[in-house]
Amino acid sequence: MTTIIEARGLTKSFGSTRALDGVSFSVEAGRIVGLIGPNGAGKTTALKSILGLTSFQGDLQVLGRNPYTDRDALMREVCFIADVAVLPKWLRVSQALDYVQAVHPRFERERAEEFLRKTDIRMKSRVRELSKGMVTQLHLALILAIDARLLVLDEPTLGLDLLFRRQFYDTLLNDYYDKERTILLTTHQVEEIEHLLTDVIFINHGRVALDSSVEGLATRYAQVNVKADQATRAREMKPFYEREIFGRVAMFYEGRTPEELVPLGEVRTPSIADLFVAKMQGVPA
Amino acid sequence: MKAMMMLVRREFWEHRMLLFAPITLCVIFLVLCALAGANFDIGWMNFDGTSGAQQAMPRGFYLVMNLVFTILLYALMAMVAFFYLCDCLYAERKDRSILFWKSLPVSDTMTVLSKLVVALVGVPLVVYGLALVTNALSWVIFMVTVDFAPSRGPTALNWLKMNGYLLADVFVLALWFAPIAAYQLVVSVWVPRAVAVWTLLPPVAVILGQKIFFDSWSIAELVRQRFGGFTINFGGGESPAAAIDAINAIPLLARADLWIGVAIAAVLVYVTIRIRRHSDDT
Repeated sequence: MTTIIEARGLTKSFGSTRALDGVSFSVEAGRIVGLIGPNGAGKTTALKSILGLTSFQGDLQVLGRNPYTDRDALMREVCFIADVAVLPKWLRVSQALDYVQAVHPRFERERAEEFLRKTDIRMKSRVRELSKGMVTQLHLALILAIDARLLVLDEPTLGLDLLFRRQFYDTLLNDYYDKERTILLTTHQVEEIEHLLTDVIFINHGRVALDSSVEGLATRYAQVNVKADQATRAREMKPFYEREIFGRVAMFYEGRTPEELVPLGEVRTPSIADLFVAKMQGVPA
Repeated sequence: MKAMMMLVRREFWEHRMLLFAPITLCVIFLVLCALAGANFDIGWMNFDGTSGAQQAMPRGFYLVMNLVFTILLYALMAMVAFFYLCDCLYAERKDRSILFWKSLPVSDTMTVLSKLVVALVGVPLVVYGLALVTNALSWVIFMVTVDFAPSRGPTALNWLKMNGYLLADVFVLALWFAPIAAYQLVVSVWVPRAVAVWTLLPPVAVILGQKIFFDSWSIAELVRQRFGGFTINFGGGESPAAAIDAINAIPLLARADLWIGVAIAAVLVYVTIRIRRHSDDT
């Protein structure tokens, strides 16, 4: 396994607030990692550190390089979509292709053009004339045509309608992802991406709250929809979070065996979204 | 090199004024030339082209018109370059596109240098070419409409010499004005808003401060020399040859203040590159 990202004690302060407070994690090649956290948790700061957009303390290696001092070399192998607002309004589609082709040694123009032909985007259009969804398609077309090893997505589908969001992730999985490539992404719409993630990292108050593979989650965490008469016993088993849905109580456990939990009610693996809420609200800040 | 050429092209895509403004002025001038030429023999001029004095008149008119036009064109260029330099490292932060540009394998050094090259060499070369073409076209327009003998115009040798100097001047003056442009880059990459104000305010404040507290204009004089000092022999002679020599800026290369300016520019460019490395969309 090749390690793509290795962070050890990654720290970044803005004045007296610590956006990142000694964060350590690593991302292996071929994984699709969701970096998930509430607003202001430090997600964007972590991504910016990885992309060489900001200085940091601690040790951070991306593809074996220090991203801050080596950004331009790193960007030959790393692609990045922030959100739809980032392509400049004045840029024409054809100019975007010309530009990336001239500056990027791993850009294959034909691939981008082939993808664009399947959309309503015309070569002569300027970005300002495109809808939000089309701008994302254009950005995606550029990214798909770059033979990169790491793709970083920061809220890539913000402000897009459901059709575009679905299409975006489908394209990503079908046309882009293979076992060699690594994707690191953040989004607020956790439900939409949880089926495609292989790993999750929860981050809160600048610290890693959870770091696990998706298979690992199933063995470590359990959600029990507790039978009404088992509520007291279930609480004695020390759930880290409980939640009432339509009069039924769901309790979340860490490190309990199925044998312990089955008598309490229906046992299932919590969704990443539920687990996220449980972890963020269950743990005292 | 391919990447650098593209970075320069990119600047002309974004800042269409760089081409649009001077081309518009050239077109207006040519239209005026055509109107003036077609109407030359009516009204107050009452031109019939027979006597020597009247032959001299259109030629003089042509030369003066072209001189005024060329001065206007370079003044316009200075203005366009000023606003370009204000915008060039600010717009990408304002519209957040800096995140896109920085997601590509282009170093901050390349980016900053491309902007400097556009302002100091790219735009002046474009304007030089436009002036050349426009002068030639206006010459043709005058020949057709007023019918004055080409031999009465500037000699081919003088013409070549003049344009050779102007071309060399592009590169000499690029060095001469490098500290001004580099200063503008620092402001453009740094301030959060109102770049033009922040560009002009500090020098004005420093100059006035020096006058009030030290009763001296020496900094103002330094700035004045930078903007006016390159016309070293202007008005130095009556003959056409002397007038042509007056536009030769090559002797500036022998002056220490040019090279001190280049050194200051190098420091300011380095500062700009360092600041852009920190810059993101916040």
